[in-house]
Amino acid sequence: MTADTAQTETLHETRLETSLAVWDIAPTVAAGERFSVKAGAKSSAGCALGRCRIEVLDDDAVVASGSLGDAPWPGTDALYWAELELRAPPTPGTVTFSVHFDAGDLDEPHQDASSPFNVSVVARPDHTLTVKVASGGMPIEEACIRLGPYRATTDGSGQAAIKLAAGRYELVVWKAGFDMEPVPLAIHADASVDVEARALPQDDPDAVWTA
Amino acid sequence: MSGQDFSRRSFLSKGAAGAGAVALAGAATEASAQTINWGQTADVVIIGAGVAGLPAAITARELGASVIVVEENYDIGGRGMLSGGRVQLGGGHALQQKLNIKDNPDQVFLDWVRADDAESRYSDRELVRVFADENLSAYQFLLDNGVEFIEKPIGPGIDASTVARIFVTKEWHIPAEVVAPRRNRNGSGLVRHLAASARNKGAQILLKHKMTRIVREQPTAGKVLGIEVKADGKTINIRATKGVIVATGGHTGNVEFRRMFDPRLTEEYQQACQPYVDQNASGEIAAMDIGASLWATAIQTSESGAAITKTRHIGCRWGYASLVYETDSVMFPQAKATGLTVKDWQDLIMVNQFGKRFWDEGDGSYRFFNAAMAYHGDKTKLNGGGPIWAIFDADGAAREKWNTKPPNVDPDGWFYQADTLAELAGRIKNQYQKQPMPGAALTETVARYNSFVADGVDKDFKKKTPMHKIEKPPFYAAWATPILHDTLTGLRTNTSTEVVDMRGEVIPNLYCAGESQGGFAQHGLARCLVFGRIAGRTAAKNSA
Repeated sequence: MTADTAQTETLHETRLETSLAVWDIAPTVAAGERFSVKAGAKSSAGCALGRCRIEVLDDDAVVASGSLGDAPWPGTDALYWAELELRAPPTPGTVTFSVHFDAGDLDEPHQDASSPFNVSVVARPDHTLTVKVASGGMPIEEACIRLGPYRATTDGSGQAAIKLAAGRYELVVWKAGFDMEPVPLAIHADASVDVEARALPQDDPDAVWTA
Repeated sequence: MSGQDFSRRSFLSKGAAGAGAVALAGAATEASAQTINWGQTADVVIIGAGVAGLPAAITARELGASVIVVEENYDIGGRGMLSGGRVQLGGGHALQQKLNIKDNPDQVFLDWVRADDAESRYSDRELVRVFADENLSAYQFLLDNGVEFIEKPIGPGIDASTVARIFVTKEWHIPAEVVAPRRNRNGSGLVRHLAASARNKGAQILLKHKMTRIVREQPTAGKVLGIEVKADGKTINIRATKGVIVATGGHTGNVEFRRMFDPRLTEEYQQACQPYVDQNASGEIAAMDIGASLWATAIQTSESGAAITKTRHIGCRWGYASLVYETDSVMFPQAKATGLTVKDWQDLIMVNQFGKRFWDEGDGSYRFFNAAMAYHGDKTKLNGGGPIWAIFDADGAAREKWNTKPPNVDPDGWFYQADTLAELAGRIKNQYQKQPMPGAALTETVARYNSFVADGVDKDFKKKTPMHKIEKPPFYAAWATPILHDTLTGLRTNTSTEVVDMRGEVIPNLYCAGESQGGFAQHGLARCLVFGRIAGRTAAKNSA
């Protein structure tokens, strides 16, 4: 070990750790369209990381970059964040990007950090499917809807509108306390589908569990 | 009450004198009633003022026996106080008839010896037969002693019963005397009425009296003479001329004892109804010290019933499915948090102490428990699965409408919040978490789960259509380790509740009922009530 490498390792050992979070990633992004994500960095010592550089990489290419803001994300102690805009690839599929935090020359030396995240890139939507979920005539709010990679949540009227590409899907609806069979669908035009939710017996906290 | 003065003052006075005058015969020494300085005497001495002990006391008093009940807790009731109040008594009683429910004792028997149900197939059928034959009289006994029922049956279909015969008692009417008020702890109405009736009929209930030994003439031979208790720092001997009834409530909270049945049940698994009740196996151990045997041990590990349960109130130490200590509960200062009630298991994932998922979070069966208790690679602790943590994000908390601050959670070892997943893993510090959770492992676990959400398929554990990614800060880790509930078996008795030793011989003057009794794997209150009555009756009639 040379004197230089020993010094480098010593410096490395004293650098504070940094960890990352990436959120508000849309369930699907249309091929070729712009979209945004939020990315934040946290110092293990809670140091202010505002104005540090953060970027998104596709392989080794930087596809988005920005500076962390001066205020932590609401609800966190010291997660400094930025909203980054990037463009989806032209071809549908799952794409893995990487967020990279550049510690630069902070007063307190920090380690750089990277974190991957995935994006579901889909064909440009052709149609709108309206899903209405009800049980015994009563609309079901906050039911989760999914058709392949597409996801949505019903509103107060039990409805959710999903823009999606033509194709064959399996409509799955989830709401705790209800049971709904998956519905196979072929989407060729705007459409609407009603889903009847069967209320399960009220959760019984004193029930016994059997294998 | 045999003309005795059982006031607390006189009792303690006599007890203190007795303790000072006598060193009670040691375990290897022969004893006789004459050689021991008894602080107090009754015909029947009952250990435990719960769902078995209280009906035993009433029944014994009704037959003219003097009765002392010792209870180690500061109040009566045992786990019955925190029970949902479900009483599985049928046989065609008046309420069943009123609701046009067809039932009879033979059907009760046939249901609870069903071979196709794991909850019933391992039971001692002789005990079940007696249980069935006593259903009608036990139901009437409850009515006669002030217990009231909600006239709406539960079931069938949730246990071995093929007939609707679960009726729920009404909650005790004084909230300050309900240990967990406003949370449907209807069992309070059962035990409060029974305790009031027992006292009215002359039974003496001595609270904060902890049984430390059952006294037998010889270490493993001869009659049982009484018990040794500790109260106010003093040792007191209580003579039982007709018999001692063990009604101590089971062994679930005793790690060493429960591991005789299942070595996986190491210390990290908490006991439901703590901190009010400690199922410490004191009765079983004291009885086994003088020769008693266990019975029907297969019941405890039959993977049916509620011996092990899923934690539904997460982020606190004792998050049993249906028990919440609100902030005005007398138990709250010890419980420290109410817990976050999970409505939808889609809103979180569960990881082991190494930050890895282990099963479908939506499953509540023994498959889930087996996976949670599996060997996860901890070379320093081969048994038990270690802590289980629920991991969720800000979106999950919002969907569940959780307030993630105290008093809903206990940040002193049972709930953590952090800005990133890696940081969250590093923050987890709990007495049962033997090594730090690797941040990289938790981050990788969540990333993999999020990919399942994107695809709609859980490739690891087949969780039904994973719906929500865990990505929005802050992130949370909440204690979600399975919690132990029912003691399903215990001491061997005959159908008269006389305790039997390992050679099949009755131990004279020793009886057992309730969760400490072995042989009948029924969740809930009925078996404790029925056999408590039988124990009180048998002991009171004992002329040995």
